[in-house]
Amino acid sequence: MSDVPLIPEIKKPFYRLGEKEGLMSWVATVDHKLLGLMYMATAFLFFAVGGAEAMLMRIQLGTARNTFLSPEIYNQIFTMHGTTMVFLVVIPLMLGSGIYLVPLMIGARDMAFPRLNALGFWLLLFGGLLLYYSFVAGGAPNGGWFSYAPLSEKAYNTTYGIDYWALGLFVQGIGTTLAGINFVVTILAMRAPGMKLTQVPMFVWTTFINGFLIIGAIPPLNAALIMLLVDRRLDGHFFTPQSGGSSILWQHYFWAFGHPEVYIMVLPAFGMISEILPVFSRKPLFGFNAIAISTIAIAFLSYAVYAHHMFSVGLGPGFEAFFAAATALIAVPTGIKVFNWVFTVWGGRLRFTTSMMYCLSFIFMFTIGGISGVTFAVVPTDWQTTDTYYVVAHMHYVLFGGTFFAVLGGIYYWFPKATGRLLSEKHGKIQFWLTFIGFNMTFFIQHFLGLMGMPRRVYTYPEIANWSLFNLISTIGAAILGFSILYLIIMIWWTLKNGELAGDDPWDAYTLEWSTSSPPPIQNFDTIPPIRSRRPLWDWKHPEDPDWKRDHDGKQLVTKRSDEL
Amino acid sequence: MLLFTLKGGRETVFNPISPYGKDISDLFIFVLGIGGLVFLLVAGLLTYAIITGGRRSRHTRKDGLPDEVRQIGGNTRLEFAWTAAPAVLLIALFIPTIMVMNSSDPAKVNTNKPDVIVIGHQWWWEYQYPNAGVVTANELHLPVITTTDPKDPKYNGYLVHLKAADVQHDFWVPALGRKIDIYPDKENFLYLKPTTIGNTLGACAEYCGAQHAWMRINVIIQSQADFDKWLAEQKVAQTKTAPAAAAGQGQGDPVRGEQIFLNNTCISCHAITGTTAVSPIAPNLTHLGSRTTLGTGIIVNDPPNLGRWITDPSAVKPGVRMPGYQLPMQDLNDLVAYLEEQK
Repeated sequence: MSDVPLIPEIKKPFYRLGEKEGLMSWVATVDHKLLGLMYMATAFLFFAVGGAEAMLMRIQLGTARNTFLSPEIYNQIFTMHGTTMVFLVVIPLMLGSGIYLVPLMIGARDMAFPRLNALGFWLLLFGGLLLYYSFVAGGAPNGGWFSYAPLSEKAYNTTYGIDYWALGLFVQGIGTTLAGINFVVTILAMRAPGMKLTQVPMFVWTTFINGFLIIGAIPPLNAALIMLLVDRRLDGHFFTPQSGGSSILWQHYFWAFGHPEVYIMVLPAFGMISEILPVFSRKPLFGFNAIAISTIAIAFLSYAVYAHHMFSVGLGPGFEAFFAAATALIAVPTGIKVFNWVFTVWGGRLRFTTSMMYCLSFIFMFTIGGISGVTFAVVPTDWQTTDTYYVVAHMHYVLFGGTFFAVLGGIYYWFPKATGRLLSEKHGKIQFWLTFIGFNMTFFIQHFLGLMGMPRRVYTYPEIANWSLFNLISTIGAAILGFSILYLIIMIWWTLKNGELAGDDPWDAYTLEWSTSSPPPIQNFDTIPPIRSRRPLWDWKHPEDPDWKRDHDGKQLVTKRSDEL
Repeated sequence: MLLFTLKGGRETVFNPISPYGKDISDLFIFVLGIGGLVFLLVAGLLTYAIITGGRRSRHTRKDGLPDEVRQIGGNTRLEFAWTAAPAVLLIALFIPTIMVMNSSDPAKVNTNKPDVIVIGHQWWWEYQYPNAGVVTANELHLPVITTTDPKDPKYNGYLVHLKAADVQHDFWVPALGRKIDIYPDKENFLYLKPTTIGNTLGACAEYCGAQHAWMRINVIIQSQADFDKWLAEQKVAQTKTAPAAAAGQGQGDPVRGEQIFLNNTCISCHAITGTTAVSPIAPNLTHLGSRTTLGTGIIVNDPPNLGRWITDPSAVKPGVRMPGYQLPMQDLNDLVAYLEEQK
């Protein structure tokens, strides 16, 4: 019980770029904390680039028949925006936060395979750079982020863009798969003594399930990318209809990866929400088991729903009904999660930190994205809305309003742990409201544009009633959103040097990472508190009311555990 | 919400001019209604929790100890409830889903006799009427369907056979119903059943390259009599009138224009009924003058625009496959006169 001092002293931040051994300490490191931070920094770098691409697109679409960008450039920009945001921003954010936090949360010294961990990061970085090299090598890819054949084939696409696209994603995909394997092994094998697999924090659990998803989902994509390269450079015929290949085959491969991918991008975000909401509500996570089991259900179902991206292909009613049913089914475990989060907040003593505000708005935004998602399970409405701005709005509600809001909440929450300094709450609130308003202004109206008949991926549009107005509103929203991200980056920069010192446990939190110093020492822990429940730090701070003396519904258990007698 | 705005627009999903579109629209409103209720439920519960939770956090205990709330980690009954309730709700959605799938996109019979063949090209539409032997481009004429007799062969609407000449496209006219992808290696069929006279817009909905944005669909729904008249006109080779002798310099001469058309490389790609130009690569130009737009919706079809288009199509529609023709002024005027006269 007295293993760890109750009020830990504030130590000097441990790592600073250039402080220890210079740049080499970052390049050569196999430490999960440095690698995690490098993942996050890389993701933010690419986020800035992808965001700039989004701004270019929104400027072009601000008014009908705009000539700001040529169609060729616009098509490259939207392809790179989608590819960057999915593969070089959201995946690295999910992986990076897992790599940083999982060992700390399970009381481990490092990941199971530290060198593999470093390899994964460098593959990601160089995969991304390979992709972006296409800009100077004669033209960026221009097939959209799912590069449908035969448009992506040599007959219709003569630059090297698609080749860089396939190679870059292939390299990045190997890195992602390595990280997935590393997560699974780490969480199975490296937990602190006494921590059962059922007692890991929810973020660790979602990352664990995510590891399996990654291992299952990335290989189909990588196989398809190689087939595409064979088609393009070795005159293969996998996806070329003119010489006996099948264009629809590519869609099957791509979405067999692409839909699990959606959950790869959101499960760890669910985990973050499930960590942060309880801490700022002063309650345990409501229905932990239900959330954990529903995560498994989502992972399984995600492989069985992919063809709802293909309802407009005309594959026949039997085929479509099966995937519609599976897609509808996946709303059940997702709904379970949402209600459990609501009831985590219910009856709590809330502290409205910036982190908490992001997590609460996550629930609202994600619910909107989830409900518009159901309209894609209803096949006839999918026939109308797929490939329109409605789908653009939907996926941004899930990926930006969902995943990215959770990541922002996570950044405000774990930043003090990683750097030893607190982000300003005052500026954080301003930044939150800018993001919230900018995001909704940009994307909510796009639902209507889609329903009014605006297809996605158009570089311009004719003068049709309200199209210009709605697009202009969206563009103004995007500008606000862009400003809010700039605000955040400046805030982070400033805080790294001048921020208020955080201390080990600024939020009075529950999980193990808050029992070590901020930032954690190279070995992570000197001592680890006893682990008897999912909230070891709560038990340790509240010896009068520990979790393991209460049952699922909150009733006190009279029997004592055998090791206590 | 803004559904009313959407009702106002001619081309929206919620303003169908076909029973198929209407079935989908009704289902959509039903789904959004249920979704709206679910959102209100979640948002209401969460807002209540936020307000009461915020109030609770402002109270402190008198003895100064941290005032922790009851640590409740779950409630089995509630959790069962919100597992079962969405499941029931989704079954309630799934049944109408299947019903509307069948009613808005009925099974196709006798697919070897389509009424219309739609061929998607980069970046224009070819429309064939195989029963009449008419080929046209970029404007789809359809007669209105008024029959209510299920035995009438037209009851299901016009059977459309969709094909692609190059890459994947997608035929989408929101007011008429579902969209459907078009493939070079897959035959797709669709019933179109317009029940109101008028024009409606659509677009290619699958990204298909540089000019995906300007692959607009213009559907002209006419009375049967108007349609028959239009179809009959399309079959007839056009007349060429020599300009009146009094016409001054600059006035185009359609007779000479035809020779310019036939003697240039126009005929490598374009066809005009009644001439030796028969190539199917680019839009069929028979009766071009009767169309309202050029470049698949990008500019209005009038003589100055057609002149611009022939001289430098890439300036109008960057990426277009047609090369520019730097013709002498008189030749250009004659050619424009010839093409525009084909009403």
